[in-house]
Amino acid sequence: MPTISFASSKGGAGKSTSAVLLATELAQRGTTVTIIDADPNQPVLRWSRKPGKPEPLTVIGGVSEETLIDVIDDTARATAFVIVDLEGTASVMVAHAMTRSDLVIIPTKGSELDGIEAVKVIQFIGRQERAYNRKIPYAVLFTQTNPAVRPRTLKSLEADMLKQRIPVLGTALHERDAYRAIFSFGGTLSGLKPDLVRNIPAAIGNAREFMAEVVTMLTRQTEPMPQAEVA
Amino acid sequence: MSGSRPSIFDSEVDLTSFRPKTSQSPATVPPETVRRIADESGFPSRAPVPTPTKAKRHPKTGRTVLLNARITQRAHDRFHEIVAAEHARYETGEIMHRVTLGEIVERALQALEREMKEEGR
Repeated sequence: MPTISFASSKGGAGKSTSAVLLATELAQRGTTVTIIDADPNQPVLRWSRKPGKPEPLTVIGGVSEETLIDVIDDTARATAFVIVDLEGTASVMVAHAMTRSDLVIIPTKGSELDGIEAVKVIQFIGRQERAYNRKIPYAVLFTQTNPAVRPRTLKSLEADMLKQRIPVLGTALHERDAYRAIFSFGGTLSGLKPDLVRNIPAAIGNAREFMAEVVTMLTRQTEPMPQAEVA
Repeated sequence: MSGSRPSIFDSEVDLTSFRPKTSQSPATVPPETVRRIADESGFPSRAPVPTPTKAKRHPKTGRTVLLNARITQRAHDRFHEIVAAEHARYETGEIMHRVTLGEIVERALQALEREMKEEGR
């Protein structure tokens, strides 16, 4: 039922990684999920051709600006969740996906440069909301964060976003080798071999938290409460 | 990043309420509106635009064989005067194409053939 788009006007923010983590965590619970790989580089499609993709998860590639909306509508009638992984660039594809999204997740690394790109997408969402007179629920997701240390730049970015009342997901996706490994080996985090990849349980826990928070947001269908404190 | 973070032990996520859509899609924003807003916001189309095949500059004339002949300076000058006059007519728009030396030779040949015909040869 819900369509979740991952948008960022910058490459390397973690769109495909977070899209695959969310999709696999959902699909492993038996629900049907489709990822629409709208990135011309087709990273998710490549991942899906490797072994270990959960059965209830389908990946569709090869969409264009003209076909994206129809593909989203068709898949929304076929599977419970539709996840759209967009190209890391400011393109009209992002706009088309947003008109169909129940939630737009904006992954960003905790740097000034990445933050500026995230703001660009947020401003674009605002502009569309005003033009269409429709709310587009969204949230920023910090990615590639250090699980042990929270640098000052990240703290300052979060504080800035809170001040602007920009919804930020409480869960950040940490920098984990396991997240890269699923793109090398294919499949899910729980399918990775502990002798080849470090600290898989921590990665699984982090991905589950992320999935659970997204599901909570979708269930409420309201923006998450801005966090009360910024440590 | 604190506040309402769900516990990792709270792993029983209820997904039963999420099902494929059964109804028709809601009224959509017209694609041209989406494109306009996106374009104005710096999110333009990135789809490849097919480049139109270049129109050939020279129509095929079939003039591929070289004619090399020794002629007098006077005939040479006169020939090029005629070519220059034809080019001037093209520049002023009197004729629609720029003549080539080969075309002048062919037209001279046609004139000779007409003359020979008139003389009954």
